Amino acid sequence: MSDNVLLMDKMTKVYPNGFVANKDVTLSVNRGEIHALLGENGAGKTTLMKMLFGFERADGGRILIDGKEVKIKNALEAIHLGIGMVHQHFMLVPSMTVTENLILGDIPKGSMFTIDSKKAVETCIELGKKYNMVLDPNMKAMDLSVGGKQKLEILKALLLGAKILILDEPTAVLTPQETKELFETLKILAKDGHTIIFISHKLDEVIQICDRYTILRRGKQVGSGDVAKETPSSLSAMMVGREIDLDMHKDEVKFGEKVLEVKDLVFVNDFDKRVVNGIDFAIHAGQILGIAAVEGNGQNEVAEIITGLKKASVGEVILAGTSITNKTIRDRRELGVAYIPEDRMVDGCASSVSIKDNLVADRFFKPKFSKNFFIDQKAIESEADRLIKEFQVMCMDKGNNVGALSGGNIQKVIVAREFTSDAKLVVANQPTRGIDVGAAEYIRHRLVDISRQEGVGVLLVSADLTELLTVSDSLMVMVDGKITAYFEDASKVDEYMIGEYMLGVKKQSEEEIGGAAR
Amino acid sequence: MFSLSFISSLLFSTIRLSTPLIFSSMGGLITRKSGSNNIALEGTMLISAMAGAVASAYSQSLIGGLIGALLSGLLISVFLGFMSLKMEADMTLTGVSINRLSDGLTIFIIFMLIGEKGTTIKLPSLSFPTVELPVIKDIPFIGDVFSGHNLLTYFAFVVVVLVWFLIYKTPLGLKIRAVGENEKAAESVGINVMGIKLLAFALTGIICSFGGAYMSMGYLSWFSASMIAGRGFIGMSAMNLSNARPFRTMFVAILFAGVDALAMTLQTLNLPPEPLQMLPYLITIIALVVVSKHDMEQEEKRKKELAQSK
Amino acid sequence: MMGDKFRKFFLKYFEAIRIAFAVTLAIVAIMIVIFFVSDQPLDVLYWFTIGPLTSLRRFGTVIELLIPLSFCGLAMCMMFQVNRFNMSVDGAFFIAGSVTAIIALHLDLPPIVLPALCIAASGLVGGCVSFIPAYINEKYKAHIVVSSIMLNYVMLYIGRFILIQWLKDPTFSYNGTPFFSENALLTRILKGTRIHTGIFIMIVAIIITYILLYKTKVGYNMRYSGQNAAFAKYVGIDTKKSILSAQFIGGMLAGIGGSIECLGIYQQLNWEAHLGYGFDGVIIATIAKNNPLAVPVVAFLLSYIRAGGDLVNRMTDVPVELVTVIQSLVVIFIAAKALLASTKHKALIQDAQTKTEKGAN
Repeated sequence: MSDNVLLMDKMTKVYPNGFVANKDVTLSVNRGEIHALLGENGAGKTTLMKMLFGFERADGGRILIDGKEVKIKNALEAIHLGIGMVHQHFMLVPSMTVTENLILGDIPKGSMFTIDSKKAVETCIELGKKYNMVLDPNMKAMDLSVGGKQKLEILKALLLGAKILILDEPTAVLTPQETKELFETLKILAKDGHTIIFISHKLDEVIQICDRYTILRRGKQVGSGDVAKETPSSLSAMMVGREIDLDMHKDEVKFGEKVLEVKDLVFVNDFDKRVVNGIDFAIHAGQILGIAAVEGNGQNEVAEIITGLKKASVGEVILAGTSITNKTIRDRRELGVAYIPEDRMVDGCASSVSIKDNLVADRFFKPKFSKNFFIDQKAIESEADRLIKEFQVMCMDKGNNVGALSGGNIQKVIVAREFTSDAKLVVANQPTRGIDVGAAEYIRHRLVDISRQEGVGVLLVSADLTELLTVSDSLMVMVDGKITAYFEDASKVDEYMIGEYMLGVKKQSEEEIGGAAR
Repeated sequence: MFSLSFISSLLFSTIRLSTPLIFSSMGGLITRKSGSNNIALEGTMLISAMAGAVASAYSQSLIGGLIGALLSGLLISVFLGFMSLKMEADMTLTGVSINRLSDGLTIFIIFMLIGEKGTTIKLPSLSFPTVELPVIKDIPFIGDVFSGHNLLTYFAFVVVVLVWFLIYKTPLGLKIRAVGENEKAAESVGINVMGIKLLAFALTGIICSFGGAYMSMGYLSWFSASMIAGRGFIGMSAMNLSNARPFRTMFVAILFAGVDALAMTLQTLNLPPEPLQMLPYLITIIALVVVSKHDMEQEEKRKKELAQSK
Repeated sequence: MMGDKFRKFFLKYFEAIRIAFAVTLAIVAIMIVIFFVSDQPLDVLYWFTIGPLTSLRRFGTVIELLIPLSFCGLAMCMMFQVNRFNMSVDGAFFIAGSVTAIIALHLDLPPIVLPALCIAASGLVGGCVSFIPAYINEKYKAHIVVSSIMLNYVMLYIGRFILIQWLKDPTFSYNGTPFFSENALLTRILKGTRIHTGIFIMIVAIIITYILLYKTKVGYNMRYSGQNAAFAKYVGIDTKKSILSAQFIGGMLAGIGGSIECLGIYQQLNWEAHLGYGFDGVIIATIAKNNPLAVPVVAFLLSYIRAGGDLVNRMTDVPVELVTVIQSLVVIFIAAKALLASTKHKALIQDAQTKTEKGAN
């Protein structure tokens, strides 16, 4: 059956900073199928879907639904056209109940201007039964499990009459059982005549459940067809486009003394969750330790506690024999901690400050750059020139605001500053996320160089498994704020093995995990 | 001195003085629930106070005065909403500017109309009537405290119930809360976020305008240049201190009014007036500190306990 | 749509063009209103635009006003540089009058020493005033706009108490202290005007504030903290300390300004209400983009407009509050980021397109 329900024809989206997220992308979906939208991080999948759902305005192209051209200016129009979306980050109102969240888009009215809450609860129960997704109607959304939240999101879309259901990386946050349940639900929905667009980069899942696929790579559509004719490796080849040569030349090193020890670390976040739940590990001089974890399993908090941005609720952090648990950030930096933060625009730089002032933000007060009270502009400028040259930052003028640079160059500014601060420990949190390939490769090489040549200990947190496996010497896996696996030698592990631990399918014994602290 | 009649008159003026605070805090509550921070309550009340006095004088009708007050307050509040939400002006800066604009604009208008800057005493403005509550007025003490207030004072308490009903019981209230707590969630189910936020500003404008109208057509029967005297800000503090819960907000507003009433009553005792006049503002600051401090300590304590319990 | 050259010009000077556009918009809007409500609209226009230039004394008032406005502008620059909406400038300025009067009336010191002491003490007290809302904001997250405005009322009544219950000369028909002794005063430097030596202190203050913010370690700490507090914290700056000290200095500048105004212009204390320069400070800092060197220029414009407004008030049937209305609208229009933004966006896209075309060839 080739009953075309949705055609997105030559879609183009350029962001205000000049980033071309989609260029002439075409997506064609048939009724009742589960259609995989594939691509690496940053390939433009989410942008394409946001245009379909009215969250972003297209700069070119047209959208046809049931063969009729439509203009989608906002979510409401998308909903009226029968499009529903389950976002990667759930769109729920935490303090409201399941019922309130569910009916938000279509509130049943009672007498005297009130909400008909009885009818609302009934709707909630009925709908849940119909699609086999039963939830407690009076539970607060924030108390639901991740799987429960996702069910609620799907029910919300269905209640609004979604015929085309977009799921943005739905399995990324789910346990295997929940994933299985979700797939059952999706099959029921497809049989029921719903069309599903399944965004993912997990190829085995795609092969298991999808009918057809469309692949994006760096903002362009590079292939589409029947899933049945493909294998994971053929799909992967299209997604990646070239064999990524991450084979990095890494000198063998003997690890030195411990530069970092983390003991019994606990962190409770604003929603009272123990995001880091009692972990111990150590990093030695010259060692690159990678943390593999699904988004939101405590890895960010670990990085921020070590660097001082967050305060540990319980536990101790020791840098080269000195406890830094209660030290200020400046003291930690003076003692030798450097940090490439996850969000470069929030923590990593001040976008409305010049490039040179960003480069020296951690050292302008030192005697080299200031006399008594006053700043020595000349010293700052020569330092900036040196760093810009050494780290190949492409910029017109070091006096321009850093915000005007491309993502890759901003990241280079940050790396230039953090790698030249005479650190004993570098914490690199998503150091190459969302930047161009060239800059990413460059940064990875510098990361290896700094550990090999200067004997710096590195803690690498990355969502890019390939990067993690090639750059790290050792690896640990975190699930729910706990370490569930530790591999002394990262070269003996592959993505699939790591994946099983990350998704909680497997767990090492306490003794094996204890190796992390040695 | 602390006779029964002293206490009953003190309580009476507490209720009287709570009227503008309740209106302004209830107005502020709605924008806060929709996720905006409206600091122009003061200016909104000032403009509507002026408009009410002027409109009632020229139309010689109470309804005309009220409509004038409500329309002007509505306009100025929506203007703030429009400039800050649609035109992306900083909301605090715009709010501060609106307060200042109201200072100038009210004087500008009354000067153009009657050639005077201080007050509109010259104008034959009308006032809302006071109401004797049947039965209650004959109960000793209780009657002295609760009966004989201005119509708008009673209405202020009705507004508290209305606001509570609106926010927690109606579809619109659900939407306002959703927009305020998670804009993206509201947008994703097709709620017109901008529309709801602007509507919240409109409602705030209307509610605050009742407060303004009360000041010039109830509390006094004319408009004078700085008659709001920080009541918009005090109302806003009452609302913030009670975490935007309608009934708690009302009680805090009454407490603040009590301080004001006490200060006013004591002024009749031949004491220097300035320290007493200062009291309501000083108490507001102290309350801000005490409550914010308490909230923070609770939060920290709770977290510590959670971290320790394994 | 736009010529290549004009587009470049437009993009380069976008901020300046936007400000000019906002000012014009506000003035034109008000003038249209004036034409309807005033019987002598042309006179209003004349006095408002040319008025301050028609005599030395009139031009003198522009310069006289420039001094307090600059101080308040500098004070707000300090607040805005650390990204805090501390409105206590009015209170600090006002209470400086009381401090000045107390010292000037009670101490018998030689010239220069006496005004210097008045100014220094006022600066200190002003700094402390602004520090209160700053501190409770950093420490307990108390709403800074509300607490600082409440504090202004507290200062108002403290000042009034000092004036009315203590320093007032009962022989005057109004609430005013005796005139200060000759030793306390700032010398008038231009006959026929009230321009006084305070203007030199103002110039020094502008330069010092500029150097402090842009040339010293302390200033770097403050500006990093204000531009992006998360980033400043991340590079190890004690943001709290920076943010608090900037606001203390802001209050100091306001206090110094208040003292100078009292000693230079009033020569006694008769302030019964806020002089309202705090909001002018907000406008000045906003237009000056928080740069102290731009403060006197903007302050001059503002005091010119204010002087024009005063003349309009005296010479026509339109009150001086006209100026307040214009000023508030100007700030709102300037603050509106979306104003002209779509035009800029279009220009940017065109610019990008021509660049990529060139790149492609």
